[in-house]
Amino acid sequence: MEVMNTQPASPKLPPAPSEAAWSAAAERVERYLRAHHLAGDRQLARLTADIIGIARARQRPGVEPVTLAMETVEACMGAWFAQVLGAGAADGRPLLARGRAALAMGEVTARWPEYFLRQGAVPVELIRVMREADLGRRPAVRLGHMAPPPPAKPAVATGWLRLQVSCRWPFVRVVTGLAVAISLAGTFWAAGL
Amino acid sequence: MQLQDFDPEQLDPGVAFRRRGFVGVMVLLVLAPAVALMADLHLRTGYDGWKLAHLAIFTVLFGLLAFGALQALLGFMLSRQGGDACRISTSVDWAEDRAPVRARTAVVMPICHEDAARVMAGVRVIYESLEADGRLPDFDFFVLSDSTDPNCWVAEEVAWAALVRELGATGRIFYRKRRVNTNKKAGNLADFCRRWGSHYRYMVVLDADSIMTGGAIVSLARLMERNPGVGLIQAIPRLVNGETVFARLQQFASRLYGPVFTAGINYWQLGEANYWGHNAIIRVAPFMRHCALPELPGAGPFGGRIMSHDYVEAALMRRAGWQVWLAADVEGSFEECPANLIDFAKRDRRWLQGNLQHARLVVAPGFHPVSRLHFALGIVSYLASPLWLAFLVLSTAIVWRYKATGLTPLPVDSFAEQLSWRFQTEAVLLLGLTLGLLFLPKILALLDLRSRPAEVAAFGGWSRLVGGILLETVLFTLLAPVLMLFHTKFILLTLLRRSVGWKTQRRGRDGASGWQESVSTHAGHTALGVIWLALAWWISPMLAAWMSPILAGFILSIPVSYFTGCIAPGLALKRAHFFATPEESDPPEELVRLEEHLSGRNRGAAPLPAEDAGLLEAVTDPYVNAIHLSQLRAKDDPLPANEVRFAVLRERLLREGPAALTSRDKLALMLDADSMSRLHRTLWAAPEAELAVGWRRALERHAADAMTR
Repeated sequence: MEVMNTQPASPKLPPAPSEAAWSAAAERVERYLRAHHLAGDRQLARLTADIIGIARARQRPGVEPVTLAMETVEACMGAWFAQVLGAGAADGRPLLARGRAALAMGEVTARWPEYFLRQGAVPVELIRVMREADLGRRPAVRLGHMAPPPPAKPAVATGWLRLQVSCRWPFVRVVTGLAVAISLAGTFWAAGL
Repeated sequence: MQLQDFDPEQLDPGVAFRRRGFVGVMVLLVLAPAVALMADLHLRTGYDGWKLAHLAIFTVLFGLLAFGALQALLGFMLSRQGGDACRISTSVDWAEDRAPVRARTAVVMPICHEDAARVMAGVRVIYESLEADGRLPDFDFFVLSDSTDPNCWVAEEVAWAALVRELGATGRIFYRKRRVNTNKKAGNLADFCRRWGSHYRYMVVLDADSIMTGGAIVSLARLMERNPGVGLIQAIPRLVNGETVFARLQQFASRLYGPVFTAGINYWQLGEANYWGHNAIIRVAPFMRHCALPELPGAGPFGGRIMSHDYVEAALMRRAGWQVWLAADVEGSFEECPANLIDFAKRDRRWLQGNLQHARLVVAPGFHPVSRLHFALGIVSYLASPLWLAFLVLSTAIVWRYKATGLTPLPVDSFAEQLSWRFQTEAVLLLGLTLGLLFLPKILALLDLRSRPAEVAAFGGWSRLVGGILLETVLFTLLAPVLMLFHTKFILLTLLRRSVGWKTQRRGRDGASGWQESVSTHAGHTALGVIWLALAWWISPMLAAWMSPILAGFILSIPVSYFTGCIAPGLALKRAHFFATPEESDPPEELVRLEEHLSGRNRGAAPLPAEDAGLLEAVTDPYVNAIHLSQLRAKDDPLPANEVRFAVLRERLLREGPAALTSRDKLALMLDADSMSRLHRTLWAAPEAELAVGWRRALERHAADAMTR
């Protein structure tokens, strides 16, 4: 099974970068695939080799192999996600992100490693799992009204809460009121005595 | 369906009036003789301004004590009679009414910098409980985050995605992180209501540490369906999962004394009950229409946004004509509590400032008198601390004045000629009355338990129960004076307009005490205690003896705070079935499952401890990046100036590392979908030489992690 290739090879190849650079690119691709929880050394090696092969065929002057290789990974993933998730799956969101989230939620690379990024038919169950695993799905936003009233201004009866309590120092008021009450009580008491 | 007799909407207003009048008269009947005794004691030794102030403060404090004790007494008496007829739970015939509740309900959990694993474990338990009851189709779950720390944010997203994957709950459990945290928790809920509120008839509001069984949630929904005039029902959350002595002490006391108190509270509150901010069900439409929080005039701490939203929301709901009830007997509602005294005080500081802010609302027009009483009681509950301190200072000053003047107090006759008690007899009587009211709820709770032997066994049996009460009394006697000092300090700071930060509470194992924190926090309390004790001893050894329980609390505050906040002695008590509660002895399935989900991990460990670990993870890991992106909204029409700014920030982030950016810039990038997508792509496609060391290490570490996965 071939890795999913979406772009034509460049007709004119630029001077090849060093093999060390391609090795580094291959290592990066393998790391990236591992980061998708793709296990199995043989599967990883085969996929990496296929991707590097495509990237080598698309060399552009001044572009590092690692960049080319990762662009290729991205292109392959984009094509595979489009196939698995169907047209319009991204719903305005980046397809790659939507697809990666679906991979994570469906544990697809662990359950169906042999189909990941490969051309050809994929199991119906894989498609179902990935399509249902949409983390971005939420109830539609139905904007409701829950606006707080405007800040209350002194001496304005708004019909809403007239929260202005005329005094900016409520505790001074409370303490003063208490003191007055106590004084009055004391005065009456003393007068009574 | 056979309907019960009680219909809250048909409740005669006269019943509420008579009940409240009865409670008021009872409080006065208890208060009056105590005040008379205290007044007589002062009269017999000569009145002055100090003693008048002393008497006034005593009146307020004794009134609060009497009010509390009477609620317990009423609750006990109602319990003896088989329960109050006017309970919201008696409006449903639970045996007959088993028809499915077909009302769309959102279970919402606002969080802010909480332990993500604990949060999601809680959501999982509630979800599974509803699923087991077959009630899941009518419920959606929303975790509403206000976390601004990228580490917490990413940890929450990852934990949420894992939960959704494991439960197969795509489209059922949602996560939302607000871009701007306007108005904190209340703003978070309001934001939810504005966006999705119209999809739901009810919402069940939970705290980050709340657990509710599916049965409890369905019961609340059924009560709401049965009572269309009710806007909010508050369930009583029982404290659970305490591991430190302090936490176990609280959960034991609240579990033991709580039932008699809540029954008594319901007796007079009826349809004008309060909202405690969580473990409650709310009718969404009236909540949206009437409960948007107004902004108070002026600046903080008394003006501006309302901090303590729950009381105000309940008052607004009631103001609009909707009833608010306390469902004291709906089982299956739980929460955790702060693990040590210092965290408890930190939480109290936040609540205190919020409650003091309500001073402006006590006299605001339109509110129901009982709502005003809730505001006032909330304020007075904290003002009681400085009043108590003033009472102690005045007591010391009054005795000192005798010493300073060299006069011997020679009591004269009582003001009431019929009273032929000696001065000392009156003093002892007053002390007895005070202690009696303090201990009355404890005694009533024990008497109430007599008819429920199974529950006694769940508390560890009679001996452990009584032993627990004695130990709890000793420890609270030592802790209460320290809390008094905390509250007094907080009130002073608030009056000085020093605002309170919105800090996350530590619960469970991460809340254990540390010596350093205990010493630095309580050094002042200890010094005050030593100085006061010396002063009291110098004035009169008798005064020192009278004040010794309180001064012991000050002096021993460091070791008491430390040891009550330690886990080891708490677990030792647990093994000995001391401070046991029924929920601990025979835990409901939901609590068992919560413990299972949390076992095997250190609950105190921060999910992503290293600085910028969350950002590194969200950029590096393809899955975390995708999960993060799934929650961001791509801008339809981005501003060119912003695009340029973000491009520069991205370049610097990758070339110079996260340390080169400010926290604000990093957060801005994390909120920008395009930037997060580009960062991920550019990072993986860039030659290593073009990346900062931190990113190269992140890629290497990531590869190593992937190898071991």
